[in-house]
Amino acid sequence: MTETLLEVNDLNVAFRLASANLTVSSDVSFSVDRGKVLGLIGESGSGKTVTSKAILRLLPKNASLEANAIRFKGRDISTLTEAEFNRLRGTELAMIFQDPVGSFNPVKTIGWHFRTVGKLHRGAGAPRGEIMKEAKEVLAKADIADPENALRKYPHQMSGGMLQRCLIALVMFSKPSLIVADEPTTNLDNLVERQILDLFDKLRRETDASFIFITHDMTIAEMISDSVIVMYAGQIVEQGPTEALMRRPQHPYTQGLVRTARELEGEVETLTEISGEIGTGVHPENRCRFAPRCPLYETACDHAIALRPVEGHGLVRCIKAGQGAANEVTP
Amino acid sequence: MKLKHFLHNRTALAGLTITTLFLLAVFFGPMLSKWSSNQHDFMNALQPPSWAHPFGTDSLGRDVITRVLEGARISLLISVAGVFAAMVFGITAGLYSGFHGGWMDVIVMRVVDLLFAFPAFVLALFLMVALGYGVTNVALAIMLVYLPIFARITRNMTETVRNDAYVQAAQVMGQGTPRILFREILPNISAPILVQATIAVAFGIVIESGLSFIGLGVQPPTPSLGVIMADGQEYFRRSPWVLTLSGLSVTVALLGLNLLGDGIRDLSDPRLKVRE
Repeated sequence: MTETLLEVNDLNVAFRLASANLTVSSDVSFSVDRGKVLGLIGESGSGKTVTSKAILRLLPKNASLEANAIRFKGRDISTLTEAEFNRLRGTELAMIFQDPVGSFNPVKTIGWHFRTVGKLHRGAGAPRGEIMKEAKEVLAKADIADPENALRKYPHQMSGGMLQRCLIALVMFSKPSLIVADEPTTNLDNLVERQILDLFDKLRRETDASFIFITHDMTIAEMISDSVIVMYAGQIVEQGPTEALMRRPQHPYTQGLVRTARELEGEVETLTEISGEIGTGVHPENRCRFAPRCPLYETACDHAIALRPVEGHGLVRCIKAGQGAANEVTP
Repeated sequence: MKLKHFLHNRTALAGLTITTLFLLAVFFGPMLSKWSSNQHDFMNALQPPSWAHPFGTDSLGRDVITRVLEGARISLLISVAGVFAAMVFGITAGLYSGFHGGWMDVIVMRVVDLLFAFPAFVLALFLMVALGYGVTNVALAIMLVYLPIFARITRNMTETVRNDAYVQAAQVMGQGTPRILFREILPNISAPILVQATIAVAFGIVIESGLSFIGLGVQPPTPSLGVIMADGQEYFRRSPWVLTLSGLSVTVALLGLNLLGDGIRDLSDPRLKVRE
């Protein structure tokens, strides 16, 4: 029996700009089970980062957030005061950013960061020796060869890959139940990316923490997640178990992504692209948002499309979903 | 910033040397003197430099060097107290204002603009007239002159780093706002503030001397550089040493602190750090 850790209902995020209100995330609903990994996929501007930051209340001031409910461990956290919410951060909810170098305070040692987090969660009177001992253990778990030495170093003295390990260790140090990882391997080279992904894989098996893993790379999502959400222009276009979604993607956009990922694995001369761009964020209400780029577009697409369940899959936002083998992606 | 880098930078080294010598002189110099700063000796008034009085005596026969060192110490302490208070309030206001933005930022910065609109010395003069004479009020005037500068520097620096990833990371880890401001942001923006502080102390001495010179600041017989200069200018034609030495010590203090500030600025600029 799996237990639902996080449940998001009808999340809407809009930015107030001088010219207009820009909706960047509309009617997003999903849930994360304890100990599971949810992959959140989409191209730049699809709203994946904004959606996850909204859950952690890290949006800039000109953003407005509306949600039916964001339930964490059964409690609605969207109505908490800032002080109450701050107690959840770090202890229960944590985030790993894209840029490991920038995530550390440049004038402080790695050890200082561990001490700060340690004191924050274990009380100011927590013995320093104990915090440092635990820090070394968690660094060793994150495959840092010489934790003792790492704690003494400043961020600029370490490589990006090492820092990402340290950051992951720092986040695991406070034992959160939900970790949002925002493209944690984007700034790293391929070899290091592989190692970091292996580390994530190891951690998810060793702890009962849940992850929301944001990425634009289908192969990474396939490797690491139990279920996947594909976002396009602020909407969820498809969601379901990773395996089914990768094998038989239903939405034309997902199909394009999966096809490209498969082509990258094989050796092809030219990659199939999804032509066009994601648009400005102002979308006509009465039309499928993917319509301008969709190879299957027809006049029936010119109305608001709802997310609907498809047999043997999850939810798909396309009128043609579930219409037989036409949707099969062959490598 | 390592000591090694510091010693390799000629400006910083010169500034540090002059400032250190100045500090040693004003704090320990008077102890070595056989005279005290308020010891009158009318028989020996306005004596030119001699072995007994290396820089002569003033109109009341007081030893000039002892008085100048004593006075420089008082001027320095007043300036440091004023600048320190300005830093405490200015930095706090700047951090909150730069971090939160919004209406609070607007109000704080408009008050700062208002204070900036007056030339420093005119503002100090006005404050002395409003507050009355005395050592504490001179320090208060210096504080109000420098508070807007610290507030503005801190605010602008805070604004540039507040969206950095480590600030967000600190938020995600559940750190409260004061902690983020003083422990995460402040150490990252301390270099320009430190530079401003050394220069502010130097010009704080000038403000103190100016106010005391025209009789609004420290009141005689307490020596301060301004008080001594005021004394000395009356007899400048007959015995120039009184004014000259007190004026020179203001110059030396300014020179030392300015060079030190410049040196710190050079060292904290990563683009200049390549020369090792």
